[in-house]
Amino acid sequence: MKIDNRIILYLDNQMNDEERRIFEIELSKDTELSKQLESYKNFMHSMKIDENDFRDQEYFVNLIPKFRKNLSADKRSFKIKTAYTLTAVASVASVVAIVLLIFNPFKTSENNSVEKLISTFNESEAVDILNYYSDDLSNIKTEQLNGTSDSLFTGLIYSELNLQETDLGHLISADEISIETIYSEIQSEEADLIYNEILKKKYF
Amino acid sequence: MPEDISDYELIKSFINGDEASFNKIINKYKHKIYWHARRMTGNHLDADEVVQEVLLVMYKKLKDFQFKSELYTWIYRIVSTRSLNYLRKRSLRKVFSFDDPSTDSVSSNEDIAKSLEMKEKLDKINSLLQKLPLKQREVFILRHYEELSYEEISDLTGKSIGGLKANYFYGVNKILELMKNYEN
Repeated sequence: MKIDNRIILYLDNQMNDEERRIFEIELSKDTELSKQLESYKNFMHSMKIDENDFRDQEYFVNLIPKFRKNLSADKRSFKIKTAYTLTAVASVASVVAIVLLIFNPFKTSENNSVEKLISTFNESEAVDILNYYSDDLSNIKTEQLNGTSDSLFTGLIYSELNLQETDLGHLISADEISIETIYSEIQSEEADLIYNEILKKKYF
Repeated sequence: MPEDISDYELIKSFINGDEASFNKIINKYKHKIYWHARRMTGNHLDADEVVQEVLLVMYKKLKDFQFKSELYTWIYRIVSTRSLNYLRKRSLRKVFSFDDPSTDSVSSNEDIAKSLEMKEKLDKINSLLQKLPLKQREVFILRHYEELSYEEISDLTGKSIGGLKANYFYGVNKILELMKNYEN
């Protein structure tokens, strides 16, 4: 079916007033164009059906009961799905809790107990402990201090002397001072003073 | 059913717990819902699935209806969306299915049309519509069958009026071309 495209626009109200006026004038003069218009209108009408013919059909009569049945099934299905989901979540939570209890990845209790222990020491007890370990401390090599080791003792020295990481190593190597020399030249009163200051700050 | 009960009153009544009001809403719009779904999907069984989905969505979401548009616009939006989703799923099923395509739901004997003449007419219309691209099909159905204005269709689909007019124009031309091939 050959149809002038303007017919489609005209019947779909897509023309402005001026275009419509011109087209209507042409329609009145062109019989072929008028035939096409009628043919198009008939065709578009044939594409429709009268829906009223189906109003009383069994399908529409049973539509609501069928919907209500589906609705009940949907509600049951939702309850079952919710139950399954909650059960799954509870199971996962239980497993995670058991894993945490058994393996305890955070391990803060050990540190907490050490801190608590240290906080119970009085001054003389703390000095005794440090003296007990003083041999170990004096055996720390300069290389260990020179590097970027984050040992506890290195941290103490850096913090007390307000040094950057490389400063101590530079200080020692530049002035050819050995850490053992530093330790040996500290007087006992000075050592006590240093120990007490360290204890006060509680690096442990 | 009295015609003077407005959509607003029915919705308010349903929100307050009156299930019968929802049934009245269904009765008022069931034909529009069915035929829109039917024209989009092309056959009775698929249309029925879409209709049931739409009714479930309406039941669950009606309490959130804000009255910013007419109820029928809101309903058409749901039907269009569900129909388009259904058609996309159907296309995927066809791609991945090993079933014989000649035995699909279109050839089922279950249909709303009981007379052979009506069945043939519906089949002819549906086959023409199914050959249109989805965008053109949707606009053509809403404009030609539901007689909605372009402003209403734009509100419903979220598309621009200019684009909708173009889609309608090309959709009509496509159908005319298909009819010409059909007659030949």
